[in-house]
Amino acid sequence: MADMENILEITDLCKTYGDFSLKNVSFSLPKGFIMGFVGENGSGKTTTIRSILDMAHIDSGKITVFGMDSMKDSIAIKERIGVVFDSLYLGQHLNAKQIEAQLKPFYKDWDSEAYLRRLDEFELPVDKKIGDFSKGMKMKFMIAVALSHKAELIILDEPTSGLDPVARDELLDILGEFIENENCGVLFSTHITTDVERIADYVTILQDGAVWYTGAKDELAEMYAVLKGDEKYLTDDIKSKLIGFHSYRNGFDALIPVDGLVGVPDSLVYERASIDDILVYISKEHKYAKHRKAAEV
Amino acid sequence: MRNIVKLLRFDFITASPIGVPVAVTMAIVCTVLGLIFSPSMGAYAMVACVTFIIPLRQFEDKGDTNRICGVLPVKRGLIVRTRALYIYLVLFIPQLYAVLLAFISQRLSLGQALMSYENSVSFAIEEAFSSASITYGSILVLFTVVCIAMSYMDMMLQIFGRENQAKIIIVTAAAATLFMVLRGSLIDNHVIEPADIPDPQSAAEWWIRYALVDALVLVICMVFGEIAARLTAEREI
Repeated sequence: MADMENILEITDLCKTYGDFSLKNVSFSLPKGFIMGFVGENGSGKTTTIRSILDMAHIDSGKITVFGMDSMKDSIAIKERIGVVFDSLYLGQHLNAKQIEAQLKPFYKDWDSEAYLRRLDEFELPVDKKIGDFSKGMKMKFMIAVALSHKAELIILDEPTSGLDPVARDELLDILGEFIENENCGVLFSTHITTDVERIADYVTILQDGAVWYTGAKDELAEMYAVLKGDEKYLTDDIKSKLIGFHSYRNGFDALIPVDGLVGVPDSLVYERASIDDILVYISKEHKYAKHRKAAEV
Repeated sequence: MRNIVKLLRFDFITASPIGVPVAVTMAIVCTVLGLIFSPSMGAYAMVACVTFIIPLRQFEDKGDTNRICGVLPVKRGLIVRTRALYIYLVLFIPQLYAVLLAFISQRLSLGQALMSYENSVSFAIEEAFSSASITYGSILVLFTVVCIAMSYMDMMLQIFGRENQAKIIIVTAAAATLFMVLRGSLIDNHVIEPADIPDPQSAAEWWIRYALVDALVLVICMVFGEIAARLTAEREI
């Protein structure tokens, strides 16, 4: 990613809330791509997004958006960012026309024609209260707002949670179309990894406030496998490479780096790990580590 | 300055679905009644304009709109300060209407003309039309009280959160009651003398009094807004 121009760069971001902390979170999103930002609930995705938007004050580290500092230049950055939260942050009792009247003056590049065209395209009624929209319609509405002020970076925080498959599919198509403009970018936080597998070019996985993986999605897919079989065929060497080892009556399963498959006996089977698999196993590994630590104490 | 106008407009649009119907209805009713029964009726329309203020926070709670502070390309402190100015303006404008209505009503004296027979109602109407100081004084006092109370409540709610609204009202009411009791007691015991402010004798004197009081109220509102902005600007959303 180093030779590409980054639309978003986070370096060593640290932020502590009580017993939770973001630990040296670093990743970057190049222009023209979609990044899936995944992790289990409470892993720090929303805190990271709030930090990007200067809604949370970071303890240390640096966030740059469009090459500008997220704290010093937050106003200029917000002019060029579209944000879609998991819930509607606009007046629910207002209709789309009233919302436009509210927001238009804040954005230099607001395009009323494009806004109305998007509403029509997304089949969103102009005169209906937006609070009466379905969840899918609300998400599409927030995207319509973001696109109408010509946002170059769209940040979505769990937009697909609670959406039916059709609405999710529509939303992902919209993002796919948006990213056809190579000067734009999308940071897409979710725990529905199938959405990420479908549209993301890059993936950042957060685990307990730290980046577990960040990079190209396709590279991640080549890096890990799920190993299954009878435990008796496991050597100590292989066992030491396993992540999230789970033993059950008829055998075991675990995540293993593809490099670690060298020397694995034929009696054990492996298959490509999905992002979902990776999330599940690293979560298990994290829990085991916690238990081990607690036992040692 | 431009951002202030944008934020004023933002708040007005947020509150207008409730505020506009109430304000228009009250303006019509108060204009009719004000011309016939009492010139100070416009003051009620002014009070009705709190419907441009109170619903703002209810909408904010309902719609998670606090996050808008994190999304809009304006400083959060400016959003809070502008809210204080907004409260002043949505009460100042109807105050002008109330004064204008009182002035026209006094000049026309329709009530006295229509109710010429002698009974207690016509006597009350005659009283209402004859006392300019009560009319203009009551509009000014009502504007001052409502404006300061609204901006004070907004400041407290911004600082302590809407979930503490009941506590804020109880503590404030208790403090105000204590103050009034203490003041009454001091006056009764001749420790302090009640302020004796003479009524203005001319239209020019009324204009001056209105200008001074309105300016003072504006300063108080802006101080409340500044306190709220300073205490909340650094908070996380």
